[in-house]
This record gives sequence, structure tokens and C-alpha cells, in this order.
Amino acid sequence: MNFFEFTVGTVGTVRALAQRALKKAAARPFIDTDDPVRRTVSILHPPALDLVVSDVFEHGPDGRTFRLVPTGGKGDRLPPFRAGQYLSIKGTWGGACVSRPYSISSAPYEALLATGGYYEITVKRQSDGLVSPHIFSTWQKATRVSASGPHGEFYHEPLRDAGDIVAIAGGSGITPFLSMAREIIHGDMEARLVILYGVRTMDEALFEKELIRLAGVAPDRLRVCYVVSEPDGTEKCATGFIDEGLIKKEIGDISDKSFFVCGPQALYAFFNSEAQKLTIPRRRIRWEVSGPNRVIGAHPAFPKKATGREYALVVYLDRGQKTVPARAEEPILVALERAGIAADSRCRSGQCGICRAELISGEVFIDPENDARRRVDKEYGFIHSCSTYPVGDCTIRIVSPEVLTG
Amino acid sequence: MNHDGVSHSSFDESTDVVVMGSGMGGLSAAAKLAREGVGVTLLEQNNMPGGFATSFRRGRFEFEASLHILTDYGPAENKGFVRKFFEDELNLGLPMIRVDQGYHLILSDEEIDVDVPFDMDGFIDVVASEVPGSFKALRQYMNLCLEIGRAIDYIAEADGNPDPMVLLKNHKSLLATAGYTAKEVTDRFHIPPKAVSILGVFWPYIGIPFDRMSFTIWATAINSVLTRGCYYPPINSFQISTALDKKIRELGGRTYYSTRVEKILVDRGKIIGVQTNGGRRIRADWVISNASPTTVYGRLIHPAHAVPRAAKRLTAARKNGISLFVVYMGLDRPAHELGLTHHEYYLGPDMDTQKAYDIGDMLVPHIATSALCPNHVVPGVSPPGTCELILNQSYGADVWGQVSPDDYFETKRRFARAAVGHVERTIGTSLFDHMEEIESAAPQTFCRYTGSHKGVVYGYEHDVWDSVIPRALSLPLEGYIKGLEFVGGHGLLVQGYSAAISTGRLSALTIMGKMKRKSRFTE
Ligand SMILES: Cc1cc2nc3c(=O)[nH]c(=O)nc-3n(C[C@H](O)[C@H](O)[C@H](O)COP(=O)(O)OP(=O)(O)OC[C@H]3O[C@@H](n4cnc5c(N)ncnc54)[C@H](O)[C@@H]3O)c2cc1C
Ligand code: FES
Repeated sequence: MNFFEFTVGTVGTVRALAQRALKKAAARPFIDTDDPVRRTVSILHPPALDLVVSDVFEHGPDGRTFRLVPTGGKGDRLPPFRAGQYLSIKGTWGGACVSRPYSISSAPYEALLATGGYYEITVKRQSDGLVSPHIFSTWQKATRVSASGPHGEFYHEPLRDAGDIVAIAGGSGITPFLSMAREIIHGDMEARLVILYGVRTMDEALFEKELIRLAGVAPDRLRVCYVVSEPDGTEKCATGFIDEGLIKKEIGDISDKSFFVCGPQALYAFFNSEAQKLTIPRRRIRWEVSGPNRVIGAHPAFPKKATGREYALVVYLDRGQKTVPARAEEPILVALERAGIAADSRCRSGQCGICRAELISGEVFIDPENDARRRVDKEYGFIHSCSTYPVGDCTIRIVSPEVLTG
Repeated sequence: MNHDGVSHSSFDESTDVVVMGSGMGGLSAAAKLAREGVGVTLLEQNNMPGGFATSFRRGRFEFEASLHILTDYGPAENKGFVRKFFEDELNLGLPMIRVDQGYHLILSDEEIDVDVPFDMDGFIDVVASEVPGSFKALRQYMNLCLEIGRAIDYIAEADGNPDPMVLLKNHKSLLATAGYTAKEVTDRFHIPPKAVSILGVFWPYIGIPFDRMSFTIWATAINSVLTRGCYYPPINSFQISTALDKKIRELGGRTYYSTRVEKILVDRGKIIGVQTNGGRRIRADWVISNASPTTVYGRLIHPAHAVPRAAKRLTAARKNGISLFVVYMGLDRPAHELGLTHHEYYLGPDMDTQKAYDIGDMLVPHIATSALCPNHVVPGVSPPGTCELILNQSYGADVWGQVSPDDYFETKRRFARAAVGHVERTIGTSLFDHMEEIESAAPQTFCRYTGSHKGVVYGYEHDVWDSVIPRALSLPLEGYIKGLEFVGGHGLLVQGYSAAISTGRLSALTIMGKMKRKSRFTE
């Protein structure tokens, strides 16, 4: 007599109850796998998006907006997003499998239009860059684009943020705010927005007409203030920088306002010191992730011995291993990409954790301004490869799904 | 090719046991197998281990995703099975912190506002002083819970294969009460109603009405929390996941992340392997599933007609357990400044479990809420000058499925606003004014990260007919496909970390037992 036979004999009540339940189920002995929760998840967070360029809009020589629609046409829907989120654009360029994040400049309501939703991203050409010049030279109507779903935490959350938003924008950092402005004017986002847009010259300003038009619709909900740092005297707007004085003048009372900052890295350091002078509480400032530090070698903590060096990076994949060269002043992620290893990445700013890898041995420099690793990862030797730099020969292990490494 | 079209020779690699899913159950099973020298390959769809046992960052805060307290760990001199497993069997090197503070229970309509400690004598004393005249009945009741706890310990210690004579002789009360609900058994003790309400502080662990809930699982939950104290890892639950994951590889196991099992290949009623989303086929005679029977029998078994009718019948008869709505907050003041004096709160109007359950079955903001302020237990959990507060509410498995994708963010926000407001008012604190980060997780979130069916967190409901004893009875049913075992929240015991760990370890032992028997036959 085993345990089961024994309990069958002993626990008659339970047995009877179980049989009753099973009998009831026997009337419909099929497993209900219908799962609306899973369906919602697959709409909200698809593993990848196949998109196609449906329109291109020029903004001067170095700015271009691409309208992206689902490849399936109008029947296909796009995941909803929140104004301020970005897409990670994936592609293979010159043998390298790379990704780049681009904020969605169109409004959330436009993604859901019954007549055919779309996202727009606005790309500024970086002449010394890799991906943006490629996008400029190869993307046109009908170009296929692969992207992640919308990601990022840079959006207005009414439970946390003030209803009055002050946007501190620089250069192409205007894009998330254009999305917010459009959503506010459309009436789908309850907030008031003042954009302080820092540009070198007015020529550099993106979406000038569009922003003026939108502000004209509802001046009580949207105001745009340009701040030109290299004025030629013809400007009718403010000149100089978005500093304490300008903020006091344009914004007045800063209490109960949420500041959202997006732009080039120099803007972050600058605004940070101005914010301290203004004593803006920390919870009232939201920073968009800023991308990799472009001059990591100049970071005071960067080991000088590694400047200009290249090291050997041994990469353990799920199956097998590879040794690839890795430049000290480039993130480990870039070394993987240059070698054509499709490691997953998204924010490229050390924040999202998708590029997590195990550091098995070797010396690395982790950008302290872009180190958003979790405490356990720090303790157990995991890194975010997009914000970690090899400063000696290194061995890492990465998650290498077959579907990605192919 | 065999008759199901699966070629036995078309495998890319092979292993002894495939473990599907790296929740606490899967990780424990894989670690135990690797420890015993069995070839094990762990496959996880997410890019890192843990399932629910994880954490995430928002701004300068890091939030624990799920763990409140770890039970069945125990002090060095009275180790629980989790501690024995981690320390003595796996040598995991993961010291735990003891959680000294118990619950703060506020039931506003019943005028209950009381601190209940996590130890048996302390608990009884507190209730007795709150509810004069309850001491004797409560003591007797708790003694029964202790007996049930000892019986469950015995089953665990016998590695799932207890001696019936020992059970009959030493653990009669387990068998005597197994056919009754928590309400039926509790009523017999004539404990004053207010004391019963205080006991209800353990209700969220099970989450179904008292008059349906199996007494066994109820007593097990009470016993786990009150006899061996409660513990917490020095950092968070992701530490347990990471330590186990590393241990598995250290012991020679293989782990593949961002790899989903799409098919469990069955031939003539027996497991022959699995196929992944990348199309790779891994040959194995055994599969341990951390995914629920609903998912496995309903979607993964290939060919589908290999699912035995009895397995379908059982799965169809079971009721999905609850899921949760969780609000994670990072606040820009220390806990004491906000008057958050306790590690964990349970806040509700009363302890009407049927009412709470019914509300949870509708798409309306819940009132019964638990609130966790981890700063009291985990040093450095948030930056200096800040604290975290995490709210939990339970919802039926079918509630959040009603929310359309376009309404999803707004619905989450509406529910979060209601939950935070409710907690502000009940505790008398100010949260909105100090909100630096807020994130909420709905069943959709859990489904996304763990793949769980409908985002269910609590396995199947522990109805009397489907609790520990009957599940032990139905184990052979689940074994209808030879080589397939289940671990985790829908396993034998109450849902939760220690139960998942225990089911993982037991499934490894079960498989090793069967392997031995098989090799004896073939020798
Ligand atoms: C959240 C977020 C939102 C953003 N939104 C926008 C936006 O709306 N609009 C916009 O214009 N920009 C946006 N950006 C910036 C954008 O992602 C790109 O950084 C920018 O377009 C420049 O990319 P690039 O490849 O042209 O230049 P870089 O990234 O500067 O390219 C040069 C870099 O490429 C790498 N590299 C060079 N050669 C190779 C090779 N062979 N293989 C692999 N790697 C190589 C090297 O690391 C080198 O440093 C955003 C950034 C972030 C983080
Ligand atoms: S890509 Fe986001 S952390 Fe590296």
C-alpha cells in the first residue's frame, strides 16, 4: 500500500469532492487556453516590430522625419505608447548588427488612428556617426525597418508629476516634447507644457512651424520659447543659455512644476547645476537617458593607461565562444556589434538592463553616470555592456538567443 | 520518423532533464539535479533568471518585484527545509536576514488596529490581549495548525514519499481535517469573531474565501509564518535567483536564457524532448515544467492529441488562482518622516473574505490592500533620505483580461490612484506629495515577464478538493505523460517562494527515483 492508495482510502471526503469537481469538468473536458491577458501583452509589448517607411519629411539638410507604418497595412495595429517613449531601431550596417534609440515624435493618438496608425521618428544626421548617415542615405518610401516596441520611462505620469511641465530641450531632444505637445493639443493628455528649446542658431531648430501652429491652437496649454546660444542679432527670441535667470523669467514660480530634460549631454550637466541653484526638488526633474558618453576617455575616473588601447574580449555565447577586439573607449556592446554578434540592446545608456552580461574576468570601467545596474548585478559581477568599457583583456558571457545570433 | 512525425534522430543536443522556466521551482529543481550529477538544461524565455523573483529599477530606486517574506527558512538551530536545502545541500552562500517586525493590521470597520508578530506565542498573546477570553480557544487552534505544519514538514522531509503508517500514527490531524474548509474547522473552535478577523491577516497568502479554502493549506500558511519566523535576502529576491543560476552552471548544468520552449515533444505517451522558439530540438527523457498544466497541456504538448483525457479533465476542473495588482512607489522622504512605521501593513474595511474575493472578481479598485515598506528590514534598499512602499491587491484571473490594450495604461493609473489614496487615508500619511517614482504591475505585467497564463500569480485555487492531499493524490494523474513533472505555484503546496522551492527540489528527487528504477529494469 503506497501513500496514495492509503490516502485514497482515508480521505474519503476529499476524494468524493474531487470526483464531483472532475465530473462537472468532464462535461467540457477541454482546457481553456484562451488568454485575453496574453493577447493584450502581445499587442502592448511585441518582441519586435516590422515597419515600413510610408513618408519622409525634410527639416533642412540634417533633419528628417520618417513616418513608419506596420508592414501588414491598415489592418495591422501598432502598440500604444506614451508621449516621450522611444523605438530602438535595429539593423545590419556594414556587417555590424546595431541598434539606435529614437524618440517617437508623433503623438500617441496618431499611433491608434482608425484610418491607419503610424509612428514618426525624427533623425538628425551626425556626420561622423554610423547609423544616422546610413538612415539618411538609404531610407526612403517603402524601406523596411525593424524596431523594438516603444520603450522608456520618459513620460508624464500624472500620479507623480505636476500638471505643469517645463521641457528643457536641446537639438534633436525636442522630439519627445513634440509628441507631448501634439497629444496635449489633441486633448488626450492633461497637462500644460512650456518648452524651453535651446539651439545654437534658429536654423538648427526643428519643427518651428509645427510648434508655433500647435501653440496657436491653445496658448494656455502650450508655449514654446527658443533660446539661441549663437545669435546673429536678428532673433526675436531669447538668447544665451537655459540658465537660472532665464528659467525664473520665463517660468516664474517653479514650485509644483515638473521639469523634463532631453538633449545633448552637455545640456544635462549644465541644467543640473542650474536646477541646484533654483532648488528644484529631485522628484520634479525627469531626465531622458542620454546615450553613451561620447568622450569617455576624458572622464576623470577613466584609467589613463587604457587611452587609445584595444583589448581582446572573449565572449562566451550559449554555444561556443568568440574572441573579438574591443576598444577601450567604446562600450563592450559596440565591440560585440562590430563583430556582428547580435547582442540585444535598447537604451544604450546603461538604464534598461537588456544588454546585461556576466563579467567572468578582466578589468572594466563602468561609466558612473550611466550605471543603473541592480544591486545584485553589482554584487555578482554582472555588467550592462552598453555602459561598460574594457580596460584590459576581458571575458564575458552574454545571453545569446539562437533567434538573434542566427 | 515515428508515427507522430517527430524524428528521434533530429535533435541538436541532448540532456537528461530539461527544466522549463527559471522561477523558484525551476531553479531549485535544476540546482538539485545538477548537485546530484544529473545532466540538466534550463530554458528560460526571459533574458535573466527568476520569474517573479526579480527586481527592477526606476530612477534611483530599485524595487523588489514580489517577495515579502521568505518562510520555512528558520534560524540555524531550527532550520526549515529551505535553509537546509540552500545551506546544507547546495552550499549557496546566501545568508538571510530575519524579519523581526510582524504585520500591522488595520480593519477600519471592525475597529481593529493591531501589531501582530511573526511568532506563535507572541501572536497568541497579542490576540488574547486585544480580544479578552480568546486565549484558550486560540491556543488549541494554533496547536492544531502546528500539528498540520509538522505533518507537512514530515512529508517534505520524506522527500514526497512519506510512510503511511507514520502519517497515520503521528499525523492523524492532517488526515482528519483534509476534507474540511478553513471555515468549517475554525468554527469548531468557537474563537471570538474579532480574533478570527485578526487571524485573517494570513488570508492574502491564499486569497480565496474561507468557506472554500482548504484547511490544510490555511494551517500550513499560518504555521510557516509563525513557527520558524520570516526571512529576507540581504538585497532582494533576485539575489536568490542569481545565486541559484550561478550554482547550476558551477555544478555543470546548462542554462539558456531568452529561449522559450514552444513544443514539448511526446512520443507514445513519453517525453522525448523539447523544441525552442529558435527551432532547436533538445533531446531529453524528462521535462520539469515551471509553466502551469494549463499552458503545458493546453498549448505545448506536441502532438496535441498526446495529452491524456484525464489530464485534460483535471486541468479543466481546476480553478485559476488569483493574480495581483501591485503599485511600487519610491518616495523622497525617509519612512519615519512619512509615518510609515511598519514593515508590512494589511489594510481593509473588515475581514469578510467572501466580500474581498468578490470585489477582486470585478474590474473595480480594490479596498483590501497590503502595503510593504522594505526599509525597515533591508538596509540600503533605497537611497538615503528616501523609502519605498509597495502595495498589493488581489484580483481574479479573469478580471484584467477585460481591459483593452488602448485603455490599459489609463486603467492601471486609475487603479493605482485609488490604491494610493486609500492607503494615504488609512495610514494617515502623505504619498502623492512625495512621489518620486511610481510603477504599477497588472496581470499583464506578470504574464509578460513570466509567461504565466492570464498573469496568474497563485497557481490554482486551493479548494478543499484541490489542495495538498488531493494534489498528492493527483500526482499520478499529472504523470500521465511519462517523464513530465510540474513545479512552482500550481504544485502541491501553498503558492509562494518556499513552496516553489520545495516542489522544485521534490520533483528532482522524484525524477532521480524514477531514473534509478528505470536503470534497474534495463540493467
Ligand atoms: C532615448 C534616446 C532618444 C533619442 N532620440 C533621438 C531622436 O529623436 N533623434 C535623433 O536624431 N537622435 C536621437 N537619439 C540619438 C540617436 O540614438 C543616435 O545616437 C544618433 O542618431 C547618432 O547615431 P549614429 O550612429 O549616427 O552616431 P554614433 O552613435 O555617434 O555613431 C558612432 C558610433 O558608432 C559606433 N561604431 C562605429 N563604427 C562601427 C561599426 N563598424 N560597427 C558598430 N559600431 C560602430 C562607435 O561606437 C561610434 O562611437 C536618441 C538617443 C537616445 C538615447
Ligand atoms: S541597452 Fe539599455 S542598459 Fe544597455
